[in-house]
Amino acid sequence: LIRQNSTAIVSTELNPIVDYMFVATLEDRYKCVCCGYVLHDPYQTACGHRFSKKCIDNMTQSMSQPKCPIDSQIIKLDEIFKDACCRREVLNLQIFCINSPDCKFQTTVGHLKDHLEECLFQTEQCDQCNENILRKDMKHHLEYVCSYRKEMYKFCKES
Amino acid sequence: GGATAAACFHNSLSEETQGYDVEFDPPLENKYECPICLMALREAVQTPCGHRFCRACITKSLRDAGQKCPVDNEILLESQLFPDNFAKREILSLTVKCPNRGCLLKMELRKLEEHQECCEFSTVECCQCLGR
Ligand SMILES: [Zn+2]
Ligand SMILES: [Zn+2]
Ligand SMILES: [Zn+2]
Ligand SMILES: [Zn+2]
Ligand SMILES: [Zn+2]
Ligand SMILES: [Zn+2]
Ligand SMILES: [Zn+2]
Repeated sequence: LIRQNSTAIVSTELNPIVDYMFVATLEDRYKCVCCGYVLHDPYQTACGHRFSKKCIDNMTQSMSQPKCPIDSQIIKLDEIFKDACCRREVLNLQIFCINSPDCKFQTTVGHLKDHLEECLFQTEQCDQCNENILRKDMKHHLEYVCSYRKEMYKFCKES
Repeated sequence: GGATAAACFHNSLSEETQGYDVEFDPPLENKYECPICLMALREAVQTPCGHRFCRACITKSLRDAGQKCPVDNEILLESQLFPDNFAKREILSLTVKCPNRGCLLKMELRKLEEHQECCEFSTVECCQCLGR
């Protein structure tokens, strides 16, 4: 019976700040009808339009009778539902790593977080000097550049 | 007898409310296929666990096979089903081929029924020999 995509959802939250670079042009069906950005935590109204949670929350909190921007239908709170299918579809969209073009890796929206844990072009904070260093340069930084290392070196020479 | 006639009637009714058994061009995307009847979703509904079904298919499954999602066995009540009007609209605007043999016309799914009423290749009962 498993015909529909039942891939386990990897990251529980999409990062709404990230400006994804989609491999294929983002289809309108995956855009929030309110702000036009990719659907983040999608909700569907009774009129069959999809909104990011942030936008539907804004609308229902700021207006006494929120209306759908597409068809002007009144949005009733008890008829809105969390669109888990759409959410899964968005999580499966192909994107380039946010560190493209340096990083050539292609992944999905849902797997980006995992990739960034190991992406060589992701900046990390050096836990010695707090400087931001590309992951690929960290080894070199710790061995030859890090100010903390220099202090240690100085200290060794003095003693 | 009467019992079988009633059963037949019931079967034909429930068959009608399954998905759309028609050829899509381009082929139907997986996400718009009902996991129960394996046809295009009719009156698509969505579950909290993120699966889509024909309303009639999932209602029957909840009644006959218990209150769970047939895809992932998550607990599912009829009251938790939401009409997926987005999917419904998209499915109705997909292009389908007229199922009548000899007819080469393609149209939006929402126009199929209307077309079939006037399709030259539809088979109709002859009013001359009807009932003989
Ligand atoms: Zn929005
Ligand atoms: Zn709307
Ligand atoms: Zn990367
Ligand atoms: Zn350092
Ligand atoms: Zn079905
Ligand atoms: Zn399910
Ligand atoms: Zn026809």
